Amino acid sequence: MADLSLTQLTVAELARRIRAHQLSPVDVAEAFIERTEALEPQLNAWITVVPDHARASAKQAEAEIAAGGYKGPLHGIPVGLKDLFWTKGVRTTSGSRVTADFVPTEDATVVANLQEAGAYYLGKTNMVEYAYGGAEHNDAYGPPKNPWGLSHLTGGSSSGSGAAVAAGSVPIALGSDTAGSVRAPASLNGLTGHKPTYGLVSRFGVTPLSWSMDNVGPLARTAEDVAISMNVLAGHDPRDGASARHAKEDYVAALRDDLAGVRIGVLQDDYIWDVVVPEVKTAFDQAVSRLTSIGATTEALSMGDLEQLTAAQFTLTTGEANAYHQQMIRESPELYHPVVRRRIEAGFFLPAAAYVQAQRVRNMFADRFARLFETFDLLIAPTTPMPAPEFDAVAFRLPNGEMPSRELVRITRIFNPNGLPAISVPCGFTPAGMPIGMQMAGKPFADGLVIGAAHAYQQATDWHKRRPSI
Amino acid sequence: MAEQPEPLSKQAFLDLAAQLGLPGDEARMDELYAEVNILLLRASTVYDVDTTGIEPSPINPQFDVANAPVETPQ
Repeated sequence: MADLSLTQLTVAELARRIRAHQLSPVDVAEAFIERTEALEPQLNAWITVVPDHARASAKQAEAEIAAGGYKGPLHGIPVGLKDLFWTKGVRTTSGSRVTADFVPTEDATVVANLQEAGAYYLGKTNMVEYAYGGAEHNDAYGPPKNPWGLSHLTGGSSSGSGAAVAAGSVPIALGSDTAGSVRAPASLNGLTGHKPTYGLVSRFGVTPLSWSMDNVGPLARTAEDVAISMNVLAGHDPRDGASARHAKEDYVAALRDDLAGVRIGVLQDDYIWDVVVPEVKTAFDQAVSRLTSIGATTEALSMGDLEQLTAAQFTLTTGEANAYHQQMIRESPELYHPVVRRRIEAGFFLPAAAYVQAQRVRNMFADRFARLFETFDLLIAPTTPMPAPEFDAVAFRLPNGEMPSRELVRITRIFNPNGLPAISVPCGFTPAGMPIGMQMAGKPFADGLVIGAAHAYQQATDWHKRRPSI
Repeated sequence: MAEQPEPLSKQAFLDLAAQLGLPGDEARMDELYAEVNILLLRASTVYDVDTTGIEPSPINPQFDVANAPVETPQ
């Protein structure tokens, strides 16, 4: 019988014990394997689990560490991978029947980086089909359930990664974020999820949704764990055409205990607040007060015209997703989920002029953000307008009426078109016990400040320490 | 602000769908037609923005093209 208490620990906590030879990676692997197998009938967080690979990797890590070859805090740590990351010899479905039998012949760069750091994957997590539907749109493998309430969505598209980490099936998982698909499930599952600066983390070997806005990011329990993973994930990759040539940073060294000197802009746009439910507003307001109490200066501001920016984000995604799927949608349309199929096919009707104009709008907002970041170090807002909805609430009840399910990423998508780093941290719970998240965004390549600020907030709060009772 | 565009007519949609080779029964085409008009309405917002003097550069602005290494032939 494995020690299941290990599954409630963070990567940092596990790493300290492993490094001190107080804990064997083999025992870590057994704990998470047992936890995963016990919960999976309820959660459906995984598409493929590879316990034999996990055990073999853990054994290898144990031997390496015993021989004095400790590689760092990810050595001997199991990871979940959203099932759009290529894994050599292990199927990578992208959550779809279309590519149900695709077995990559090489690992994605980020997978190779994690393995080089001594981590290993426990399996491939469930996801929204091609990252392009709502959280409930997965006929092929069924949607995951939220560990905080099994009748609730997890949010997507990194839905399984969110469920798996929140439930303690793995201490950390990778997701992808094009409009909020790391941050939204992080928020709805009580986790910390980071969308890095565009280009900071390699997209090679990752199924695209929208090439100009896709990001790979971690979901974990803490900002500290996010920082640990970013030290391994970030870096130039010549196989990714958009990979940034940015000097290597130490995101763990950037962690801070307070926010003295940090200037925070609190977004007040009607675009956001007209659709935020009262419980999210209450938690967010309390979070702002806490940020002030740890040294930040805060100031309300309205960017204005956010509908234009998100219309640009939507238009760009529509065109790029259609372009990626053009061949498959013609060859195997019946294998797609009907909603995903409709979205892709609708892209055929998008005027080229609209796509080009959306690029101009994006660039206009790049200037606008640049000016804002001369005054502010961070911009903050709620991550999602409401906590995790129930499965049968496809259209949500919001203060100003009902919204379609895709609007869970209404606020997160603000930060995608211009590639800004943005992190979601837990900032409260509803009276019914469902998590609420706050997101903090910075200027390009300010990931250290963003993650560091999240850590400072978590030093002053304990929302991230709560665990679901599952 | 520009007026909202007229929805694509059903016949125009069906003609385009046929040219694009998109198959489907009547019910499915009705759903796709609705999706297309939602898309066109949302996308039309970008035309409301004054982008005078702004180019649609395909590369995200923070991509460091200026400092990319230059390969010189041997």
